[in-house]
Amino acid sequence: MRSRLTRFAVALTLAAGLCTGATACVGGQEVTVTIVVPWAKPAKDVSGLEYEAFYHVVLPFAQSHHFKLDIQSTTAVAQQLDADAATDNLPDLVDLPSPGAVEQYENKFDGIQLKKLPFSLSSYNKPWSSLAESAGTVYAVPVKADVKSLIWYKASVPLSPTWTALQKVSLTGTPWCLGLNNGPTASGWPGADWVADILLSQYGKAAYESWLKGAWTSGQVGKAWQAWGTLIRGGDAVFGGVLTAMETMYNKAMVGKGCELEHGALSATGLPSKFDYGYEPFPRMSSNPAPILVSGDFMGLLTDNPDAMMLLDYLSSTPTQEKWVLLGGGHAFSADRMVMPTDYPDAEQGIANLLQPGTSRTWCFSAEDIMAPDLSAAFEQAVLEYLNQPGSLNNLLYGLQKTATANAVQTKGEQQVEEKACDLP
Amino acid sequence: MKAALRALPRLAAPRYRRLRATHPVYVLAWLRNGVLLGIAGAALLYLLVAVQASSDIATSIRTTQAMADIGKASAAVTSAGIALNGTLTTEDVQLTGTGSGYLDYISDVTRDLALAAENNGAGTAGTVQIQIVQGQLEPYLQQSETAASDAELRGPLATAGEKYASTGEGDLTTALGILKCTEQTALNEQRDEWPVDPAAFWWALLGPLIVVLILAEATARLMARHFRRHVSPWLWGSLLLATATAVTAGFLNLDDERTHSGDPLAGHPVTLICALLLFLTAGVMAHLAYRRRLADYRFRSS
Repeated sequence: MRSRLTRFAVALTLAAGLCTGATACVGGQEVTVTIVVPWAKPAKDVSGLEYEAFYHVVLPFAQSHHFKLDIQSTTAVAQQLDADAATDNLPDLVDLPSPGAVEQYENKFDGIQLKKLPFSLSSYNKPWSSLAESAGTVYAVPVKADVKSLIWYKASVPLSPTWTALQKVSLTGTPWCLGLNNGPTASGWPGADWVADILLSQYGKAAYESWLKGAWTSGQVGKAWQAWGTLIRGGDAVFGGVLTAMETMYNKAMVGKGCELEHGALSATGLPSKFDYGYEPFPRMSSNPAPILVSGDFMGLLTDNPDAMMLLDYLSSTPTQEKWVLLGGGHAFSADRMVMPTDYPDAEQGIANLLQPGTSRTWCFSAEDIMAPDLSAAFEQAVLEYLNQPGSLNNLLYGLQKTATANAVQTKGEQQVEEKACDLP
Repeated sequence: MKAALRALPRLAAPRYRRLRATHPVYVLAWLRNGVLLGIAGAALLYLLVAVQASSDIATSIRTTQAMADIGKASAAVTSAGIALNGTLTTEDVQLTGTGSGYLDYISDVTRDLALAAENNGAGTAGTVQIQIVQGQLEPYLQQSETAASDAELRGPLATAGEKYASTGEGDLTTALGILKCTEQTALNEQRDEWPVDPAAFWWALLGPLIVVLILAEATARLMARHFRRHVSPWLWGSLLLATATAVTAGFLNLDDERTHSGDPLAGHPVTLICALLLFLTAGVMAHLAYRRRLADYRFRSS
């Protein structure tokens, strides 16, 4: 009798052990890290190079740590987060292309809050590191950086890097390539970068910071808009005219088109890695050297998933940043000062030099990325309306002033991100 | 490995000798226990197949409904785009805004998406994709309204605004297409689940009864050789009853699987009770078939 009982107990224990083992195995396969990124996946008309580069950076890490990746691509990150928060199913990681959004989500906003990160960003340059922190606490990692203050030209038509030369070139024909289309969100942003670069170059850091704090109706801001409008002759100097510019995707304005000049970051031009194009930093418009307009992507953590935390730690490390920038097609640059220009593909080393300390030109973060999302959207729409009807500039600036004031009231003046927008390397 | 294989006959030999030396009535008792266990196993597996198949069929019906809802939402998005274009090009947008036709279609999209979320059969993957669709819906709505206000301004922006809204419509339709694919994949998996897969559930239902048949045949041989008796007709009756019940249940399940009935026959409470009673009867019959012979040889418990 006792032996029967013993056999039964042993069988039961074995069965229980098998079940537990099986459950653990099944459970082990289920761990997934969900990431929302703004880079388009490769598709029929989309190269998806930025997405591919990111994927090739994170995939080996996920495989070696035995978790799955669910990378969701959307150009409407804020709206996607809203939808996720509504169903209480936030992604583990989110790539925010705007420090304004990072600041918004540092405190709980619409049910979304970035987790505090136990990382040090000491190897990262300012303003990227300071924009990812608040009161000494890190809320995001500046996983990518970019330089926007560049004028691209066809190598066959060399460019004299002065403002006067640009004005002269713009007097006749349609030398400028411009693509303002970004789909249903943020169309118009390349024009916003033009205005920011002109303001910085003409009036410097102080005027730029004052604008970021809400001085939309100042004479300097108005003149910056007008300088852009005059340069492109109200759209007549743009290839195809205003309508073509509005309908052309931002990254398809130059390649294969009958224009020679374009303004903006390499990743935004859609140029292939081995290109027949040259570039010059945005020219100075005053006696002082023009600051450099930069941008970046900030990856934040929204859940307590330890694998996501590990992945973020991995992304913030110098070896990962070196690996990422070397994947040339993605046109990634790093704000990590330990990543040397020689770590980049040949074609990108010159731009990487502009991200090295000691360039003596102040780095200022792109204005529309710094602004709160509502104001940023209004700015982009204003760019489109200005090109549509240049005479409406004053009304547009008053409208933007009103939005900025309302935004300041909403945030009770707590927004500090504008103060960190510019920094000397 | 080779050494272990060589040692196998040596290890098995004493056990085989012990089995040969066992009194036939003990073997008969083991056979009876095996037959009863087989019938109980058949009953339990039927229960599992019927309940699980009902659940799988219900899930796949919901998933099919979710796919229909997504299809309707997608058609409504296209219609909304057409309605918006009509409003922007032919009406005075200052008075009409995006237009009532557009708004009606958008309310259809919202309703169909809510229904799709309710019937989502693709689990987390479906939920995530529904969120992506909702994430695309918001900018599309914003851009449609902006297109209406751009149309008031006239000029190139009126045309470009339509294009931005149309891109938003394209993104939304693509997201809905991916959602439909996600649900379709889940539906295919649900239809391949073993309780609704004929190749699998027939084995589950008849497997234990094949074992019972083998045990019954062994019983018949044992009875003839050691007891000079025919096996009791109760045993064949029991086997026949259990097999008939399992086969009927199998055909009912097959019918449920083919028709994707919302009220499955195999898992219907009446069917469940009847089938379990029939299996119980088969068990009782099997017990009776062995009872008399075993009662003739009652040994004291050692």
